[in-house]
Amino acid sequence: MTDDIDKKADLDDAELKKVAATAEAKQLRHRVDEYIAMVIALGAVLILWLLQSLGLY
Amino acid sequence: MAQDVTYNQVVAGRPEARKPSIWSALPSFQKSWPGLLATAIIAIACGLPGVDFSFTIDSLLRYFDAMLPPIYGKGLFVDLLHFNYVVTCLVAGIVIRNVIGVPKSWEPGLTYSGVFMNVGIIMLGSQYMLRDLVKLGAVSIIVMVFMVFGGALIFTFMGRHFKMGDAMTGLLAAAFSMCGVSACIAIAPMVRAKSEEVAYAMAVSVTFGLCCLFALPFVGKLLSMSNEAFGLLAAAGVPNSNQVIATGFNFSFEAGKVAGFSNIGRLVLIPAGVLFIYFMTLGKELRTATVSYWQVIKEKFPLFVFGFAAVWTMNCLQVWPVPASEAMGNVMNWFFSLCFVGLGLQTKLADLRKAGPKGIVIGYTAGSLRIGMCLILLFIVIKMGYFK
Repeated sequence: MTDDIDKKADLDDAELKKVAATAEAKQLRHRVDEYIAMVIALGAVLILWLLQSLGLY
Repeated sequence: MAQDVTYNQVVAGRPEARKPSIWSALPSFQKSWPGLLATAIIAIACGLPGVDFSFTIDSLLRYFDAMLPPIYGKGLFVDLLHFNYVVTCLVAGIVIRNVIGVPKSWEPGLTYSGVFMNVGIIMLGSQYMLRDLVKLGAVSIIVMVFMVFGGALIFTFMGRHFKMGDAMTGLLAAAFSMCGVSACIAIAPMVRAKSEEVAYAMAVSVTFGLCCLFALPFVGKLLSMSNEAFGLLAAAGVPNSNQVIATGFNFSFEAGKVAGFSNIGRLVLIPAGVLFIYFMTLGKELRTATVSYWQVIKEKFPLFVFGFAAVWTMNCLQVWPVPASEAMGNVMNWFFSLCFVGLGLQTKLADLRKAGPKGIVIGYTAGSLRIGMCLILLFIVIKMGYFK
């Protein structure tokens, strides 16, 4: 009986660790997505601004 | 041999293994390009706003409207079913995913739809002047604060009433009150949720958001809501960020702009909301000592808000003239189109089954209650004369 409870606790712990690892990975991806978005958006704004100041449209 | 021993001793003596670079979180370009290319082709085929290209699905629908007999004097697709670029991109994506199927090689590229959404939101800064944010900012912050914390309270109450368990209550409260899937994942380890509970809560929030995306614009038109009011309703009522933007733009361009801006307010509230739900759902004895509040704030704060602020400041200082600002508006819409196609291509209708009847009843009831609460709040704000 005690063994069963211990086994279940171990399984639960492993499951929680898996969820925590997934959450950490997703959080990291989220952050990287934000950096890339900032580079693309500010780059696009800069290009459009340059094109405008060069009188291309 | 002696050299080997020395090497092993050196390795074993290192305090910790070198941390992988943050860029390793991204799938490589080699893996991503098929999905990215497919997304771009589908978006162009649907019809990009501001681009005159005749051979698009949008042109085809307009042609059908012109050819078919009008219904009550209106065209079927554009006037009655409101097929604009948002709906066309989404429906095309959903049909391809659920009818034809998406090749496995597309999957890594499709994960970039979040990047496209963030790019669109940052560029949204070029569409706002100081007076717009002064007019909208205060109301939007009040509504968002009320909806994030009020929504969390509704879910906590319903979760306890229906005996859903702390983890599930916390997951649903985070998913519906803040930003859907991201908030759900952010809070999962804190409320000690299991992976199937996370998947379940995500399925409920995504499918509810999908229903809102198509149904809310009709509700808005029925109630003759203004663009500002509808944008706020979309940002406060729809769970996932990309669905918020799609719902707003589905109503009108102006409503989409308001939804995008108000959604920033909601994203900024994520760290506070996550901690609020953590305290509301878990009893004192279950709260773990390992949760660092500063860590939560640092990790969950959306950094791309600074990008929006930078573009908005430059626009307020009139760094670029009006034509450039209009061009930025078009580019912003293209990025949103890519995001909507990606969203459609990632929408699995089988998730409705995964959500199950109990999830649908509890999640959808509480979600609808939140929308009702938001409508009442907006009614009060309108009565107070903040906007029409």
